Amino acid sequence: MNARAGLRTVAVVGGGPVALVCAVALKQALPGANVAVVPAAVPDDALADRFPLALPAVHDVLARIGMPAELLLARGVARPRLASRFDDWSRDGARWMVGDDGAATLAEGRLPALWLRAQGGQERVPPFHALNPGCVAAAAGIGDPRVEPALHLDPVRLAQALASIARQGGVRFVDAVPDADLTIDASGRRTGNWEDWQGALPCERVGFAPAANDAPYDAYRATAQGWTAHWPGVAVTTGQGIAIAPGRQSAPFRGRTLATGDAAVQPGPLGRAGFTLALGQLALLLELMPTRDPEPLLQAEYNRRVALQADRMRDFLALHYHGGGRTQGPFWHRLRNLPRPPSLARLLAQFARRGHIVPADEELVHRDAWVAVLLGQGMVPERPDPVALSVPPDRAARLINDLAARIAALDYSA
Amino acid sequence: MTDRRIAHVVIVGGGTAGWMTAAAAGRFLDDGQRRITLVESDAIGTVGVGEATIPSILNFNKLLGIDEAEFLRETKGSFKLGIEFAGWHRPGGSGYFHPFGSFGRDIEGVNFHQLWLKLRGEAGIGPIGDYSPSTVAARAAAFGPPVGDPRSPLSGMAYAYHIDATLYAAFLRKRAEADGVARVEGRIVAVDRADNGHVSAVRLDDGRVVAGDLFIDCSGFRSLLLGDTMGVGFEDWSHWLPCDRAIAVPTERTEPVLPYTRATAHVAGWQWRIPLQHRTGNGVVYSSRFLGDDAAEKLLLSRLDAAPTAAPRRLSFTAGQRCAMWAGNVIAIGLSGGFLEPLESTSIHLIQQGISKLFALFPDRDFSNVERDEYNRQMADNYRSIRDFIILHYHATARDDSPFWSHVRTMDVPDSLTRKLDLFRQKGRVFRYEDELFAMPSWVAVLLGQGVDPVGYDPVADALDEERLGGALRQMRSATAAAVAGLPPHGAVLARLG
Repeated sequence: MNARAGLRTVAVVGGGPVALVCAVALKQALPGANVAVVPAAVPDDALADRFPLALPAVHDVLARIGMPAELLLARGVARPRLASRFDDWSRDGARWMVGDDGAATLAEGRLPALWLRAQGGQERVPPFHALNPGCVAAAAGIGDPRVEPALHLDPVRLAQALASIARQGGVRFVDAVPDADLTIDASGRRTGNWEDWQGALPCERVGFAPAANDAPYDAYRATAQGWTAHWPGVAVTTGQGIAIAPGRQSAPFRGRTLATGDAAVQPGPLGRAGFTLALGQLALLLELMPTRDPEPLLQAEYNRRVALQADRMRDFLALHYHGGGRTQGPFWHRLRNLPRPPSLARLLAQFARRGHIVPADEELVHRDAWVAVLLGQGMVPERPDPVALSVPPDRAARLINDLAARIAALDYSA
Repeated sequence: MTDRRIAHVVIVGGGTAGWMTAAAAGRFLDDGQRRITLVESDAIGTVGVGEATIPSILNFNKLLGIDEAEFLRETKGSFKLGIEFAGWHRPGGSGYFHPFGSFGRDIEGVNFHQLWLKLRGEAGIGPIGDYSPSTVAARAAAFGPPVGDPRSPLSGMAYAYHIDATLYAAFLRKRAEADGVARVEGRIVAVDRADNGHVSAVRLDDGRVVAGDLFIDCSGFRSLLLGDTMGVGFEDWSHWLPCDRAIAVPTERTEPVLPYTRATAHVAGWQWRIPLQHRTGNGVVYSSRFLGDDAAEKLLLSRLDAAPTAAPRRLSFTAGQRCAMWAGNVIAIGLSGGFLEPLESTSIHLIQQGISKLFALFPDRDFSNVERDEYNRQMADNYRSIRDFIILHYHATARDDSPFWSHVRTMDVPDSLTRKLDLFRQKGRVFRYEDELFAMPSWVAVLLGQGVDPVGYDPVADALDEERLGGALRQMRSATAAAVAGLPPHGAVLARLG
């Protein structure tokens, strides 16, 4: 007999993919438990439910519940997002891209270091994103089977598929919240104590309008007042529309209630990271599966790791605002005086010195993406990489140009 | 723009830390202009730290392009699959094995040890060590490298080495000198400092002066530059780790040469046994508060399994670390920066960490705080997490047979360790922290071995079909035994090195 008796009853409150994916995963992990979904209207600012996107780091959570990426792509529930493109968002205005999968590698040293080294050579060097196969394929509007894309998920089809799996698996749909050993608040509604992220992620309003766009990348453009974006099927404009308050709940798991998705973390619209965070939280929940009776120690550990995960994502997204790119326009002027969380300040200081990204636990973003966001905006580390110094600039330039040419010809080893 | 690059790196001290640093610097810091000098005195002995290592040394060797067979021939080394701990939970009681590599395979996302905790009482399940290929191979004194195929039980193996540290330093010296590192022989009698407090030069007993931009202090316990010159204080951890003395003695080789280190607890500390090709390294670690030096030496000599080949050597130390590893233009690597007893063979690993982090954060002559602070933060984290893991071995015990064990069993431990102990005891859960050296299998091996018994296990394990789960575990266990049975004896693998 296990002294840690499993959950008998779980209630999941919410009407979007976040609630359904939690219900399905918990029912599969605990087949003996009674799992009920209590549908609720999805609030306007529940972006994780409205614009779900899954970064490669959380694909295994979807695979675990029987929705591997290949299947979602084949069934038309998901479309590949290979990269994000940014215009008017750098010091010199040059366009840059961030791939959702990693950049290529060279045996001669760290790619960013060699690329920086190559700037001192005679040959012209392509932009950093030309070294990322996902960015190159995205710009050409083609797919590349060697690149693992992020999944742009159709919220309606995803919810339908999840609801069908849920029903088949024995999840019940009920009208009122039953008494349960654990209640999961996936309603997208904000409750409890929140930490405010306005300094790191300045965005107060965002508007969405239907638009035709089916490129395999998200396209962002900085404006004097903020930014605009084209995601598949939708045009995004900041500074107008619904109110958004980026931040996170300080302790999402308390007693018998656990908040997840936008009810736990609101990362704002840039990068549409909400659904990825929800899946990251679900992976932690499955790893630290609670028992019938609340265990404060386990809850503290869950809250600690969710906070690390959320803060790390906040810092990644904040690089887009605080990475020293665009400086023109009132919105960007104001950024200079906004408070930065210490971890973000340390990240920026370390990168500005030598081009290194301070590593952290609970990482959901590809390492190469961090570098791409900073190099793309025009941040040049003060100090050259000591290993790259042994490669003369002309040789580095040749290596970089050769690599870019091979990637453009789709002739590289993944 | 003037060139602010460090033009001359001076390494002070030529033991394990000094020559590891020099060999790595010769390979990675040479930009065609930079000079690297190592100052050492033939008159000053080295501690010869770290005869046993952990798997991270394979990364260091790989980076330096060191061939394994040559390395083992030159250092008269042997393979190491883990550490056997005897008498740590109960005096004289059967011990446990802390293996390198992993235990079993996770099933449906549930950690293997949770599955084992659920089924451990049942027929045919056996001890958790039966699922660790390194443990099973160590018991049979067999050895083989891990295999790449994840379906093979041998994919869960990992290994390190036992080496003769003096030979290791000589081996690295050859490589460093071939890479252009200059060696200066002489005793340092004075240290010159610039107006800003930085070290500008060291003066030798014959009047020579070695000036430099960056000084790496590998002077051992003495901490000549960081401690004496820069005046960086020492954070004393002896209230948690009271052992402060060691006596080392080599003995003749015994057969078979075991592919693991042995750490046997005694009345006021513990004794190590490290098998090499040409001899066995032995030593006793103890707390002088609880055991006299002569009594400790007697204890050591009475517990040897072969004849001594040299006189015992005495060492004294204090567990702890310098409040900063990097001050001004001085960076301490090795014992000059801190000391943790060799219970988990971490000394060489900490040297490697010091080197790799220094290269990653390599400064210029302006010596910005950005690099210094980050280096100090990362190194302090490294020392602290290893410290907690070592304290665990002492604190989580049922021993009450001596004042020493009563002290360590009942002492206050760091909060970071208390949280880990509580979580494991109550849930069988293992905490994960950033960048931690000892991963889940290590914590599981030592926690269970020390008698920290979880009251329950992951409820997700209850959702898995019990019969199939039992079948899967029994199959894993027999597959591990069968795969290890095909491995050659460790002695034969060493003999083939030539």
